Amino acid sequence: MAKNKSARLADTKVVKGRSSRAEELELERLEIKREMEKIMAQYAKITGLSELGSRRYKVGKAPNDYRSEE
Amino acid sequence: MAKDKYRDGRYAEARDTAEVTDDAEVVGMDRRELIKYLTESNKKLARQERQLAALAEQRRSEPDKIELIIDCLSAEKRIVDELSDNMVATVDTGDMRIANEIKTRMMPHLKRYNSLVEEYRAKTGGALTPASYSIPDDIIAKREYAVLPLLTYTTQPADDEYDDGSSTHSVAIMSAKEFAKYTAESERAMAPVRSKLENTVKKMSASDGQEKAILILTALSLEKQLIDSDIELVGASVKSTSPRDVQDAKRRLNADAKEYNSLVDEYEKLTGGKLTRASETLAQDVAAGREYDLLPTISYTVNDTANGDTEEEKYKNAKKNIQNAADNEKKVALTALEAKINEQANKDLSVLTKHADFKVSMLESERDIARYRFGMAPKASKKRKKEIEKEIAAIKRTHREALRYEESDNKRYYAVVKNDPDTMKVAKKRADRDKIASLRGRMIALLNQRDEINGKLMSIYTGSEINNDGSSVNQAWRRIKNEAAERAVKKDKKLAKKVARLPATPAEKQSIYNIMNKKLDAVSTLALCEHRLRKEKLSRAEARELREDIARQRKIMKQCDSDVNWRAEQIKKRGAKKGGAGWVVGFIVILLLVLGAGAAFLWFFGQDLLSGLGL
Repeated sequence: MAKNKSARLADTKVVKGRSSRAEELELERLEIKREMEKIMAQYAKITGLSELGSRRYKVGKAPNDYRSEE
Repeated sequence: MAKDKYRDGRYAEARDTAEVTDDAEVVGMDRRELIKYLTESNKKLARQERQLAALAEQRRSEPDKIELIIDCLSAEKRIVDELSDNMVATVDTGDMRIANEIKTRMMPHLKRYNSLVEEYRAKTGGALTPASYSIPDDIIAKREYAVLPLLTYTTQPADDEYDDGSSTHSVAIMSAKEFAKYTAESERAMAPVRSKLENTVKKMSASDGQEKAILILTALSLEKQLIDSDIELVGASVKSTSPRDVQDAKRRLNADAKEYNSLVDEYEKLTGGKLTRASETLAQDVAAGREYDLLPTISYTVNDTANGDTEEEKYKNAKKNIQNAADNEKKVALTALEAKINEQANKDLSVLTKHADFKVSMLESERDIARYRFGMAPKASKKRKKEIEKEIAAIKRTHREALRYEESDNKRYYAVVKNDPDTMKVAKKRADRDKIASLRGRMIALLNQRDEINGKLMSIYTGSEINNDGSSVNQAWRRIKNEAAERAVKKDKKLAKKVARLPATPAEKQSIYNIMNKKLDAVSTLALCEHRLRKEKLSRAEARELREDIARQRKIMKQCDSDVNWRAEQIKKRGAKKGGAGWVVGFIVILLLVLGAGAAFLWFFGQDLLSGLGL
């Protein structure tokens, strides 16, 4: 029985491989963003340019932040 | 020009600009070159026709959308232009049979173009230039032919759609119409520069000596501005969904670079001095995203040799020259930095777009295949389709929002890079300046790191495509999958009917249909994998994965076939057993009835029989 094997394109090795590679990179990208936000906070404090330090969402919560559960 | 108001309050302005024939690139081929050229062109035409078909499909769902009529017109124009080029090349080599074949191919496009012009007129009252049916005959007769006009249009949002315009909007991926709008804006901005350049060149030819040298330098400076604008245009054209836009932008940049170099030649001839020339590969480098050399800003100082400079004046001039050189260097560095920032920020936004495209393409693929199902009631299929539509709409909505937030994030990050710690007013203390400089350095390093990751992500999301033409690739993939699924449905139709006739419960039948559907998925996925392996340039790892997928799909198909047969056999056997057991039960019932009847007979007539017998 081919019960547990899916034949859908999304479940092929090529697509899955791509997705997992992309996910790794997206997470790495998110980490970089976290680092950058830390720098932004320090920068805003030193320069007094508070508008540069403020972000509406926390990193990982904004629509432009990658979320692995998507 | 026609200005049309949409129902939702937006406006569209369409205009056509006459184009002239430029066949220099396609004439002078020998037959072998012609065949090669036509083969390449046919591939291009197939792609353009697919794009046109997609637009026509879109128009069927939104027949009142004027933008789509203009997009269809532009798509038809591109095809007619390509066919015209092919005809010119063919007529030039004297192969009239092929030329006539191309004519037959071109006529339906001209008819469709004119019917679209008519539809546009009926819907908006605006007049666009119709196509001339004599184009193919004119080409065959080697006469000047009427090239279809270049269609551009701009859309204006309804009043409530205006944003505050406080930020410059970088677009990750542009449609042909967005790029046309972008080009028009750029042309408008550069119009005064072009006019100044024309005047300067006119004056140049009527002057000589130092005056001429100064005018050449002025012209060079104006030409540089045009080149800078062209560079931006080429950079943006790469993001356009139409490959022709890239070619047009490159052609424009090449022409301006050529003009710049001819001015440099003239200057060198006149003064003997040396100036930096525009690179011959500038357009290619910009389009390919490679490093390129920016042209230096031109400045000059005038020495009045007639009066003779004093030592002090000479010193001042020298000092001024050094200052100018330093300023130029700074300007060049700043321009380079801005170019780099724009490039990185655009790539970053493109990644988000490609990510959304990737997710949407998977859902679209599922939606397509939902049409080809065995056993599933149409209602359930429609419901799933609607769900997918909703999911796609949600992805697109989130994507738009994500772009907005990413843009605002980038604006903050790159502000750190743009602000020079040495000249920042806020950094009065030396220690603060040093700290700001160190934060800036770290930020640049992180942004570069992110850019590197973005590059990798782009290659994952776009596959092996080089021109960001993901949508048409996706359409080709979907077409291949659909065709394979359709063939499989036709092939298994009889089997589905047999399954429907089996003596089984609806749930049992559905479980068999599910296996058949899995085989359908496998068939379509297999067709796509085989196509990709055959046609695409893949990395070794990806080719290996594809081969593994192909083997896996074949195995699944085989397994599905045997599963369906096995289940059908089981159901048949069970039916047969039920039939056999029925006979046995019937026989026993009859036997019992016979025995019962015998016993009753003996009970009633037993005494009489015994007395009758004398017992």
